[in-house]
Amino acid sequence: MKRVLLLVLAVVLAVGSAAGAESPTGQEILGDLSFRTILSGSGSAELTMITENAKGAQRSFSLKVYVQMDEEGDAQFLEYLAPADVRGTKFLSVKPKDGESQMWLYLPALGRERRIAAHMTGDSFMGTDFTYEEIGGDFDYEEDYTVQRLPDQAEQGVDCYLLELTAKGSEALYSKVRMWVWKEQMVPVKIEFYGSGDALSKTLTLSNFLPVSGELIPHHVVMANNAQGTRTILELTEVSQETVDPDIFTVRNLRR
Amino acid sequence: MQRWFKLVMDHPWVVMGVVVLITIGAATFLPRITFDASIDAMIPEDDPVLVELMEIVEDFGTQDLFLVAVQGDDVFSPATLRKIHDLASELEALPGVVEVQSPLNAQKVESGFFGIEIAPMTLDLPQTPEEIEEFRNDILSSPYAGRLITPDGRGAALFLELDGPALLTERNDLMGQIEAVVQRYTGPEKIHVVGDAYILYFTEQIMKQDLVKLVPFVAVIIGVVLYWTLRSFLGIVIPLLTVGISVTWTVGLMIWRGIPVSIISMVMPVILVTIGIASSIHILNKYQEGLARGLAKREALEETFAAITAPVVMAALTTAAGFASLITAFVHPIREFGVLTAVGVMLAMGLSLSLVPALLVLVKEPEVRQGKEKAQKDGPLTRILHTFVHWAVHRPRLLVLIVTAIFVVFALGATLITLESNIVNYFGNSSPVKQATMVIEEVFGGSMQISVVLDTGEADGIKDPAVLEELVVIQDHLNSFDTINHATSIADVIRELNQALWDGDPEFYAIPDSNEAVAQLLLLFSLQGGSGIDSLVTYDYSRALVTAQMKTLDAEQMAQVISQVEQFLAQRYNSGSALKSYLSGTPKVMQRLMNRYVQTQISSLISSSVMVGIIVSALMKSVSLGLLSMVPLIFTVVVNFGIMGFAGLPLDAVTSMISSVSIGIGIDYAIHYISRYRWEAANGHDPATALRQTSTSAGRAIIYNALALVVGFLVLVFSHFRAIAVFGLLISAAMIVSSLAALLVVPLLLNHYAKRQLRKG
Repeated sequence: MKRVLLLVLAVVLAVGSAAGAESPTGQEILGDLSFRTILSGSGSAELTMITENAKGAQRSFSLKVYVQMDEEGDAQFLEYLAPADVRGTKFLSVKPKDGESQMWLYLPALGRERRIAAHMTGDSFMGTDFTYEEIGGDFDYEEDYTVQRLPDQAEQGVDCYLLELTAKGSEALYSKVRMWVWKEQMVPVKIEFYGSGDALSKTLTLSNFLPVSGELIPHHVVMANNAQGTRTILELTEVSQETVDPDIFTVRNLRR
Repeated sequence: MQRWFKLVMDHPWVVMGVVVLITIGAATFLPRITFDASIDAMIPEDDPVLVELMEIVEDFGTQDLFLVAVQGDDVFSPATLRKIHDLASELEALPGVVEVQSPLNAQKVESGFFGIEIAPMTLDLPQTPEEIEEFRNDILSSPYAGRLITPDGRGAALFLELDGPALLTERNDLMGQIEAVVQRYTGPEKIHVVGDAYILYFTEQIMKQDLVKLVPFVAVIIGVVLYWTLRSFLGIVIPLLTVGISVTWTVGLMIWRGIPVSIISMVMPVILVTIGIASSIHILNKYQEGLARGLAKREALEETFAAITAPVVMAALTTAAGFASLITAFVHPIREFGVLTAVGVMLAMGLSLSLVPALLVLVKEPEVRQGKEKAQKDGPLTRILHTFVHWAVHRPRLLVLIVTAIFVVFALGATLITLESNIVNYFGNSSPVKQATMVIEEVFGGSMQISVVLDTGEADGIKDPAVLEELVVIQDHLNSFDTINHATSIADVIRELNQALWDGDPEFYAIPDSNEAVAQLLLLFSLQGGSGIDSLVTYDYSRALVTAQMKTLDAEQMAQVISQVEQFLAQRYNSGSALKSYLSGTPKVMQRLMNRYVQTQISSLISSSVMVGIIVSALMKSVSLGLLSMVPLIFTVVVNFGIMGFAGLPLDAVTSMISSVSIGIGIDYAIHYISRYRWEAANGHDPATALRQTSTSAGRAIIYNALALVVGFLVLVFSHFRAIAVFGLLISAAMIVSSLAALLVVPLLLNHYAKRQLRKG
């Protein structure tokens, strides 16, 4: 779960940091979008997360999310607002720099908070279409992939750079990644992930960019799993880049 | 008709040309032959049982189990564990295999030092004694004990999830690959494969082997019979050519209509060859007789067809009617088989009356050997036949008594008949699929999945603790039967999670007391990447499934247990309950099929009797003679069921056709006998003399005819399918019984009938 939010916030917070060279190379474009460089700062957001199965049936959750990232490490706190039967469920994840993640969950109906183990497999995370690896903070495009710039294309009605990333070795999760980067804002609007045999595996679409604190932020994020026909839709309703009170990220706060 | 034969005999090359063209056309379809041996294909698509099953598959995914079981001295040994691991990953790598659940990767919910964890049973392959001991303790204390691994360490099972669309298009490729992988890993451990898809694949292979073996075999056997009866090369070639062409046309028609070969229709070529030669025999016999009397070729031919056409048409019509009556059957492939075979019989008749005369015109007349007629006149056969008539005329009461006694005994035997619908039981005990199924049922508690749906009718209804408790009740009820094991549902997942939340305290292996608590446990489950609940509950949590493994080899017991479970569900979730529940799965389809065999039996019996009765009455212009000719057939059918009951041979899709087929074929004996008797009587003989004359002429022909059929049908005994071998035996027995019945009972009735006529004046 936290990784989902990391990604969302990563993309959100990244906006505008890119420098616009006249005709940058693929490497330069990617460098400006590097997720790692973006994972700094704090913020909060309210969002609706909808998971959709292959038959189009949906489950919807509303969450309030707090994120803090600095030299000491990462921390996330989230609270379920809806549906009613999980309202008040809280989740805390703390990862000290160079340390192991620790996670806690508080289930109000059972009156119990419990530490939960960090998940280790590459399977679907939290029943969404995001996996641990592709969302993970240590996901490094530059290290694992060779970048090539393809002819520009329009996507979602805006001019885009089109990058094609090809896996260097078997370490990479995907054989190929294609990324459409909105030239004007230097944000990705669409990313395609290809699996073995270069079959399209997943598609991430970012849209509804709205200004927050003077920066454009995608308020509508869709990850489609092309192989399974499922989708996960994230709808941001409120985004703030104000620093979050550190007291939020404590086990004590779970029961509050 | 005479004009037709003149036309044919004047233009034999035209007839030949047309037949050759049609045959080539039909033969071009042969390479496109398809096979379908599935149980589902036996039931009409719109049958409620199948519709329910399809709904469940739509909501919860496949309901078919696919298991690969490893049997060895100690599956916990390092070498066997490695083998299981490698086998699982190799199977998982096959295209078409979605997932392999093994004892090593099964999902466990744990409450450990790092908190609640949902993770595979092992992350690294356990190899040291300590690692293996830990793994043994972990898995044997999990719900997978007995399901994925046996406590005595003699068996381990892999559950394969197969890709539905791939199964439809590339099943045989996939099964061939699975078989190849399994073969490579076999030894010293035994590895068994059980699953609908594999059984279908295996059945298809065997069907092909059977066809390749049985069809030439029956041709050779029939060739020998032909030589024995007609004593001429022509007498072998012409009948075989005729039936060969009619089989080609019929099979071509079948493929053209897109009908796959089923386990039932695969006996069609053997049946068509066997019954199709009769008319050619009669024709050639008569022709050779004419030649022997010194008639010229053309004269002999004209006389032959003038005399033989009526009986040939009559015999074909009644036989076709017997097969066509199967159209009232519930089992879909039986309907297809019935209609196609009826068409085949009519085609063979058509060829006998067109191709055969054309051929006979073209080829040189055979040399006819004479003198064997005399030897037969006073042979033992004649004496026996005369004895039959003697009994009928002079000992009618005794004969009636004996026949009635036999009838009653076999009728009692018929009440012992068992039903069978498990395709695995169509194989003999030495067959690999049968053995694999026996192992899986014995060691792992069941080879098929049975599913119970609980429908709350509202979204999130399943999250209600009271509803979850109902799932537990259903599980417990299922597990209370010896033949049902490992019942599981979303309630197990909830209970495991609750226990893990409370530090693994066994007391908390229970459903929590509020909807919210359930919802939050489910959230915990998905947060932790838990998977597999999509096959247990619908996305909106309105419906849940209880699944279990069921033993199905004893199909009767299976059907009983299903009825008991259904009764339980109907009582507990009756119209007053907000919950709806029903049972589904392949065992339910099998039970449905079994219940319908009886109906198929009755309906096809009635319709074949009525159809044949009408045809015979019309042809003989006498309702009473029509009814009379039915008597030996009813006797035959009852004796057949009696044999099945006494011998413990079950009524299944194949054997349920016997009565209709034996009525359709057996009626010919009665027709021949009665026709001949009327002819003799019309020539001024008194009833007793007429019967004696009839018994030696028609009686002899009936015995030869029956023997030829018996020899042909007995070829089926060499089928790899036990069910087809049994069918071959029973239908052969039915041929003997119906011919004997015709020779004993018909004269009895005819004599009685004649006396009454006399009294009436």
